[in-house]
Amino acid sequence: MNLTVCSLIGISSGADFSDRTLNHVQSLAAPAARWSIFVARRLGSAAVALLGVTILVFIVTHLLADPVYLLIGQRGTPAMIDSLRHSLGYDRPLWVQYFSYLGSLVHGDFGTSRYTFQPVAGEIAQRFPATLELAVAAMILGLLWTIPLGVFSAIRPGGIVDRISQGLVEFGVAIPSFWLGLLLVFFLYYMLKIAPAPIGQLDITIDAPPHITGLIVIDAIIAGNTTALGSSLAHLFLPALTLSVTSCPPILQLTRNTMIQVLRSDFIRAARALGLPMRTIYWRYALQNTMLPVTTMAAMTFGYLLGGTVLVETVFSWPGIGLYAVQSMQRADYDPILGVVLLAATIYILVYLAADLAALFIDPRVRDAS
Amino acid sequence: MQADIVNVAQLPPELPPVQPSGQIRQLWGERAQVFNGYWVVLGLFVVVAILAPVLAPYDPVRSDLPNQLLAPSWQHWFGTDIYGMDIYSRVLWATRTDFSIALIGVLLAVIVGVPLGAISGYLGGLADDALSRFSEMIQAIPLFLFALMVFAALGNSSRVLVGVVALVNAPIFLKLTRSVVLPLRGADFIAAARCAGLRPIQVVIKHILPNALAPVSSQFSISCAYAIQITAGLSFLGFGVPIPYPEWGSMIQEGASRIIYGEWWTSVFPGLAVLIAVLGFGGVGRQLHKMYAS
Repeated sequence: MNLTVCSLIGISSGADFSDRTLNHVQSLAAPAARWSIFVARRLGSAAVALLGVTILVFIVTHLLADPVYLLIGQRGTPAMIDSLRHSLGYDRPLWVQYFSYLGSLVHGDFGTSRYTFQPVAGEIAQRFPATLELAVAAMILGLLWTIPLGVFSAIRPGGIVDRISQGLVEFGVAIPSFWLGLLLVFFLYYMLKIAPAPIGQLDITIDAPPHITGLIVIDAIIAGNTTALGSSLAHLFLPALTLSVTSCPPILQLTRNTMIQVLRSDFIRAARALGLPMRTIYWRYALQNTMLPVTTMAAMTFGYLLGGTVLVETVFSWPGIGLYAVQSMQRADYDPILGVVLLAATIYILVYLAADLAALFIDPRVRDAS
Repeated sequence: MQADIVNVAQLPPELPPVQPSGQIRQLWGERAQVFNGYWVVLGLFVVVAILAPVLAPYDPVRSDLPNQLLAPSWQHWFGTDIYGMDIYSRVLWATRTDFSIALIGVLLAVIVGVPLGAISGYLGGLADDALSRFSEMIQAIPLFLFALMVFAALGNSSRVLVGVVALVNAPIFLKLTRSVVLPLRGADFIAAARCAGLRPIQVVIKHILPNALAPVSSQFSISCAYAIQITAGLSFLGFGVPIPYPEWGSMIQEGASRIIYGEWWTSVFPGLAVLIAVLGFGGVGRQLHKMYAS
C-alpha cells in the first residue's frame, strides 16, 4: 500500500528507492564480513516484521473485538459466554493464548471458515493460483509498457514521449482501479463486444481443463485445450490490463529517473566518445545499469499484487484471495480474512527481503567487492 | 592532437538541460509557480463541498422510483440511479463526505505521525527501532486487507473508516518527519540551542519541526489524494459510509452491476469526481514538493 502513496508522489518515491538501493550498494562495497552481517540483519528484521504481523492480527482478533461475542452473537447469556470462553481457552493469560495461536500458525492451521466449515488454509490454497495468474499477467503487461516508455522518456526528457508518459503515470496512479475496470468493461464488453463478460476466469459454457497447476492458462496449455486457453486469456486480459495501468506507473517513473542519472555518468560519455551506436548505449549499457533499482521496484509491485488485489478481483468476480476476503467479510466469517492478511503480509515481507538480497548479487560491483 | 578527436563533432548532441516550459509561467512569473491549475481544481471542490445544499438541484437522498435509471438529460444532468435519485446532486453532496473523511483522516495521521517521527529521529535508539518496525508492519499488509481486518474487528462505520485512513497514513508521516529530523540531530544550530539550555522538547518543537513543515505539507496533499482513493475504494466494497448517504465509491458500486447493460452514468460520473479530486491533490502535492526541493 505504500506503493500507491509513493506512486502518487512519483518523484520522491523514485528517488527514495534508488537512494535506498544505492546506499545498500555503497555500504556493501566493503569486506565480505560486512555484508554477511547485512544479510543476517536483513533476515532478522524480516523475521521481526513477520512476528509483528502475527501479533497485530492476534491483537485485532483478541483485544479489539471479543471473539466469543462474535461467535455467539447478541443473544448469548452471560453463562453461555463464560462456558464458551472457557472451552475455547480465551480465559487463559494473553501471552499463553498468543503462543498457542502462533503454534497453530506454524502447523499451518489458519482456523476454520464459519461458512463452509472447511480449513482456511485449504481454501486459500485453492484460490491463490487465480491471484497468482492475475498478478503474473498484470506484471508481464506492466513491464511491457513501462520499461520501454521509461527508456524513451529518459532519452529525451521533456520530449513528446516523456510528456505522454508523464501524463499516463499521473492518470494511472490517480484513477481508481475498480472504476477503470468498469470503464473497460463498458467499452470493450458492452459497446465493442470484444471482451467476455467480467465473470470469473472462463466462459461458463467451457469446461475447465484438468487441475494440474491450478493456473488455468497453464493447465489449458498442458491439456492442449485451445478453447479453454483462448477463453482464459480473454478473461485474464481486462483485469490484468486494469492492474498494470494502475499499479505499474511507479516502474516507469523509476526507470525514467534512474536512466536519466545513468545517462549523465562518465561511462556513458566514454561510450559516446568511443563512437558506439546510440542504440547500443541506450538499450544495453544504460538500461543494464538502470535495472537494479527497477528490479527491486518490480519485485515489490509483484509482491503487492500477490497480496490479492481486492478491488479488481471484486469488479471482475475473479476467484482469487482478494475476492475470498471480501466475500468472507460479507458473511461475517473472520478467520479467512486473517488468513489472507497473514499470507499477503508474509509474501510482501519475503519478496521485499528477496529483492534486497537479490540486489546484492545482481550488481557486479558488489560481487567483486566480496 | 586535436585532429585525433575530430569525430566529436559527429556525435549526436549531448542531452539538453531540462528547462521549464510554457508561456503561462513566463507571463505570470513567480505567481504561476505557486498557483496552477491543480489549485483551481481543489478550490472548486472546496466550493462545491461548502455550497452543496445551494448548488444541488435535488435532494441527494430522496428516491423517486418512477424516474429510475434515466439517462443524462436537462432535468437530470448526470441521470438518475436505480432508486431514481439525482446523480448530479449526489455527486455534489458526496464531495462533502469524501473530503471530510479524507481531511480528518490525514489530519489525524499528521497529529500522530509527526510527533512520533520527531521522537523517533531525535532520540533514536530503542524508541526509533520500535516505531520503525511498527510502521513497517502496518505497511507490509496490503491496504485493503488491513482495512477489512479493522472493519471486522471494530464494525462498519464511517468513524472506523476515518481511523483506517489515519492509521495507514500515519507511518508515512512518521518516516517523513524522521528523515527530516535525523540529519539535523548533529547540526550546529541544534547543538547551540542545547547549549543555550533548551530542553529536548523545546529544541524539537522550536528548531527541528519547522524544517519538516515543507515536506509535511506536500505529503499532506498527496496523502489526501490517497485518502480519497481509500475512502472511495472501501465504500465501493460496502464499508464506511452507509448506502443512501451520498459518497462517490458507494455510488460507483451501485452502478457497477448496471454497467454491463449499458447504463454507464451511475458509475461514470462519481468515478470522474474521484479521478479529478485525486489528480488535484496529487498535482498540488507534487508542486509543493518541487517548490521545497528546488
